[in-house]
Amino acid sequence: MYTSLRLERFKSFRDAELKLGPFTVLMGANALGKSNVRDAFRFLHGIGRSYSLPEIIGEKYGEGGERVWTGIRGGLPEIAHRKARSFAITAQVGEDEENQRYRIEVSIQRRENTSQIIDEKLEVNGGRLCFKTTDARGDLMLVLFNRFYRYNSKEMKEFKIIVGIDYSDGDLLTEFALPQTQSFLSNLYREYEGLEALNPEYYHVFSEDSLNFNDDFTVGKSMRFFEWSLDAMREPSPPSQVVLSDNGRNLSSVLQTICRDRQEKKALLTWLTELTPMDAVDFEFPTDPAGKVYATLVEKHGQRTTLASASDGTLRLLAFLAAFLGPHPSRFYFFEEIENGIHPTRLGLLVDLIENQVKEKDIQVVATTHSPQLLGHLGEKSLESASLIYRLEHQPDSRIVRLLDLPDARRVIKKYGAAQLAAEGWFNDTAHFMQPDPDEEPPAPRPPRRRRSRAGT
Amino acid sequence: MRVLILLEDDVMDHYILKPLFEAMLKHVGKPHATIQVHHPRVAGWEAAKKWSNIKRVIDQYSLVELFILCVDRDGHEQRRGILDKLEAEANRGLGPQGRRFLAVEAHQEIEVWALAGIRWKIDPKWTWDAIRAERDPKERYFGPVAERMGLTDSPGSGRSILGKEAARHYPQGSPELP
Repeated sequence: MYTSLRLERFKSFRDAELKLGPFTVLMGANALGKSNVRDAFRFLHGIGRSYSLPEIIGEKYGEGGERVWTGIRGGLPEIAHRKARSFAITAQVGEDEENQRYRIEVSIQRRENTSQIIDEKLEVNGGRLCFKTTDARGDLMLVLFNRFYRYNSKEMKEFKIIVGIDYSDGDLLTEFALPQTQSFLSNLYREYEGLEALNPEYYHVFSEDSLNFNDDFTVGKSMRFFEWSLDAMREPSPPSQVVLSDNGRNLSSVLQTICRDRQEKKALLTWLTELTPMDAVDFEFPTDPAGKVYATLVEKHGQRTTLASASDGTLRLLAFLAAFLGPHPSRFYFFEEIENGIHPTRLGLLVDLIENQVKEKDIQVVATTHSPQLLGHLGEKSLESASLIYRLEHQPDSRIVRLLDLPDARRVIKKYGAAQLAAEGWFNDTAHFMQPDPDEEPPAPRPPRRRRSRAGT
Repeated sequence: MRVLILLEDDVMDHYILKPLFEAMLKHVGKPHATIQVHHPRVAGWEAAKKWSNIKRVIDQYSLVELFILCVDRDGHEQRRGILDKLEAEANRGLGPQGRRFLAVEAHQEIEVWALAGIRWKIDPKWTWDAIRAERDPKERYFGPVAERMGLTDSPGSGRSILGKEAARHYPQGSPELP
């Protein structure tokens, strides 16, 4: 589980840290940086998917020319805060003493109309250099864990890495090659997975450094960023498609897969009847002439409703259920404006669903919201990690503060409720009021104390 | 200085009050004052004058040094007396902490303060005395001015632009301004 995310010079953030819990809600007005947090997580996800940095930040196309990845909004020219020459994302994963902090820094060279990545760097646990791809002069080089060295010439098309351990005899263990255009960072997963088979000793060196790449750090591989599209959810889908797409496509076939398991089906129907006024007792999955299924809700009195005619709210709630109850669950979910299309009286149930899922399964959910009501439904643990994203007037950078870290927050939330305070703007107001007052005169320096001379000296 | 403005109608009045109070505090040597506008759940004079509501806000905002309640007078002379009582009640608790609560009423509506920014554009036949005495200056004066200046489509039907204008010219302008 991610426990914190630090953003340095990343998009609208100059330097901000987000503390994360199993279910983290991000509040904040429009255009203050909530979606930039999503971009930061997508950056980590891109690395987890072994994409190169240009692909992660730009776009990635599949073999058939189809776009398989939409880049970070604004691309390379806008990824660093106020045209900074580098940005860094630090993800802390694991809990308590098993915490690992991974800091990824990317340097950008800016010319008149172009921007180019010139360096990438990974540090673990407070500055320990894992690798760096250029030296101070800009020549390509590679340093791994302060032990592995390989200098490379700029002319080489292939970025050949000779892996060696700095034994006194300079013994080399193995070597592998990467195209120069690819990010080493992105290949870390790929290479690491083959390492044990490749060379047990090499694997040992990685393990020795306690990076846990195949556990916590690899959360980045298993992340989902849903943005529901009602049209996509209404479409019938091939029964073989059992993964819900990011916009909700394949909803019918995912529901069909869930319903194959009696227990999962029961859970699905129970949640559905709680979340909607429908008296749903069953699902049917008829097929169209092309063999695609379209899920149909069956109510107690026999009324049948296909997803094509289901209400927008019902579709959204079904999509949440499919995301959590469907096969191949992810370890991390990000939802933007989670309350969209959901009636305020049902928000408590949605929160209950999410809190239930993060408690029962090894998953983490981050969601943005504009809904004070949703905040009011958060359980104690979720409220601990709920954060406000805000921006001070006349200041260009976005800031993050945990709601409970605001002065007096615990007392006033207990007394007045988070929903009411959010509706009246208390969190945002207090984030502004807690800033130091430049008009206040600094306290006068205390005159130095005169030492009393001891009697007799 | 940390200032919270309480008002009857946060949707419209904040356009005028936020820039105006920024200008006022700058004028008295507090150019970096943090000024926030409270968003009440219930709008209107009846809710604004309730001591229980004010007490709640004061209790919630422990960092605020100055609370300013701004309301329309709406031709009701007795409102000043009610505001005086609220001030006294609030300051009884706040005073020892070095904090203050002020309550002011616009004659007769907050929109009159915005007209201060365009005093030279007001019809020569209009006088401040007449504007102050008018019970519905919003309809009678502010609306026609905003329309004549082509501001009816702008935020707050002209309040945003005219509020900033009034702030720019502060402390000159309407004698009505606090």
